Order: sequence, then structure tokens, then C-alpha cells
Amino acid sequence: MANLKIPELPLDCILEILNFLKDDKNSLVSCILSNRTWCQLTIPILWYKPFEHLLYREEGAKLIQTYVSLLADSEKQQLTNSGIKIPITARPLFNYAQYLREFDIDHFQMAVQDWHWMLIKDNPSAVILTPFRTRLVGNLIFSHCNGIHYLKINTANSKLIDVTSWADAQLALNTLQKIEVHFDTGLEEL
Amino acid sequence: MAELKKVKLTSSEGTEFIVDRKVAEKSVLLKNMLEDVGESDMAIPLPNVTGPILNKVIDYCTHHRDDPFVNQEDDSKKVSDDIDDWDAEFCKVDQGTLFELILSANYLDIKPLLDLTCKTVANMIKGKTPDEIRKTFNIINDFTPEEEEHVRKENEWCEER
Repeated sequence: MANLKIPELPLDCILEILNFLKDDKNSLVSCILSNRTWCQLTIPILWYKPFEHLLYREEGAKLIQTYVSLLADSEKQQLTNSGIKIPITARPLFNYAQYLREFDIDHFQMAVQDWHWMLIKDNPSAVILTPFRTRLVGNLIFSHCNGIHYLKINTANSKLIDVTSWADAQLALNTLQKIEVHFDTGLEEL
Repeated sequence: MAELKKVKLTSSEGTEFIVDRKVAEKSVLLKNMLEDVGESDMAIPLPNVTGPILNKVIDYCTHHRDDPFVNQEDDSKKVSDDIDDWDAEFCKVDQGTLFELILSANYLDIKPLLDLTCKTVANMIKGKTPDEIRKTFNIINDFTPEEEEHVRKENEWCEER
């Protein structure tokens, strides 16, 4: 019964604690699964910079899958029209895209590719992903987000995607505070 | 010589503590109070803080009395592995005491102490399963099984396998 002596912390203190875990996705996901209140406090922290947390290809694919599940039926139709078959999923519990603040274009592009690979694996008739379709997913994320603060670009890996041409780019990038550009020649293998 | 002035504080049980004004002013709450009240010999009652906890808080503020005041709101500096030896030793207390320290630092508005104690608790969370977190924080799992599955599925991308 030792726990009865432990005082209950107010939500602002719990939030202070959770903010120190912002770079530790494994701890964040454990917090999310603890209970409803902790879930509500932690989701915005985890989804603040989801593209920074990706380690494996499968993770990127699943991340995009959750983003795509946010789409309205008309938006899903856009993807379907372009040849991407969207699996039917339940309505998400959170509008995950609204928490996005740090956006790494390179990681985003790889995640979309991995997601597409996953779809092809399940459904061999799906067509190959073109930059046009990457752009569609980008449009959809931008139009659902509340404004990016930090944009990361790597010139070596990304086939320079022009994010300013995405839907609602004006709104999404209006809040930008920092841009990080890596002019990687591809010659230095670290 | 205003800096050498002493301030009287009383804990929830009525125990009186006498501290240097400079130490007391590490608390933004007390600093503002002292500025408002001016010179006074009256003890300041702290009904939300017990004697043993106030003692710890005073220890902390005395050790850090000469630290510059930092208004650190820069999120990028929020890391949990920069605790120095004295601070780490200070936080080697039972969990109840640690949580009481968080509550007091929050109430007295001592940001560096709040950061230190919250960092320490954040480090306690690292590597824990959801069930272990529930036990540590005395919280119950109020998800329905369907909700829990739904949340898990949507956040599956960051689950280590």
C-alpha cells in the first residue's frame, strides 16, 4: 500500500515530466498506452516531430498509414484515383497531423516510399509510386497541420521536393522559425 | 545591506525556518511577496509545504543561491541527462518525497528545482512498460479494450519490436 503515500501530481507537472521525454519514442509510447489522460498529454509530444523518430522502414510505412487514415473520404478518393489503393481503417482517435511542427522532407519522402512498398506487398496490382503521388500525401499532411516550425532538407537524398507547391503551403509554412539545409554531395560516407 | 536580510518561513506544521533573503528569493512566489510586503519580521506561512520538504527545498536553494536566474523556455534544451552530481545526490529520495518536491517547486515557483525533479521522474519512466508506469504513478488503465487497441494501432509505428 506504499503507493497511497504518493501524492497525485497536477497535469501541468506531468506535462513538464513528459516534455523531458520528447526524444525518447519508446518511453513516449509507453506513456500513451498508460491511460486516457496520459495519452492525451503525450500524443502532441510524440507527433510533434514523428519523422525524426523513424528507425526502420516498417515504421515509416505505418506512420504514413496513420496519417492517411485521417483523410476525408474525398481526399482518399484523390489517392485512389491516382492508383494508390487505401486500406479501409477506422476513424482515428486524434487529428495527429495537427501536432506536426518539425518536418524532415527527406524522412518524409522515405516514409512515403516505404508505405507504398507495404501497399504493393499486400496488393501486387498497386502502381509504382511517382513523385506526383508523394506530393499528394504531402498535400494532405500540410492541409491538416497547424503550421510547421522547423523544416529540414537534405539535398543529396531527396529529389528536391518543392514543398512550397503543396496544398495550403502558405498556411503550413507561415509559422516557420527555422530551416535546416544539408548540402550533401553524397561523397562523404560517414 | 538588504541582501543579508533574513526571512522567516513557516511550514504546514508551524515549524519556523529562518533563511537568507537571497535564498528565499530563489522562489519567484516568495520574491514577489517580499517585494510587495517590503521590510517585515512577519513569518510567511507555507501551508502547502511540510517541514521535511521545506528543509530540502531550502537545502537546494542554499546550494544554488549564486546561480544566475535563467528563463529557460527553449524546448530544444530540454534534455534529461544533464544532472550534476550534487543535484543527483539531492534527488536520491523516496518517490513520495520526490513528488512532494515537485509539488512544492511548482507552488513556490522555483523553476530549476521543478526542472531537476521532473527530469529525475522522466528518467524513472525510461524503459518502463505502460503497466509499470501505472504502478509508479498510481493511475488506473481507463481505456476500453477497443480504445487501447485503437491507440496502439495508430501509434504502432513507434513501437519497438
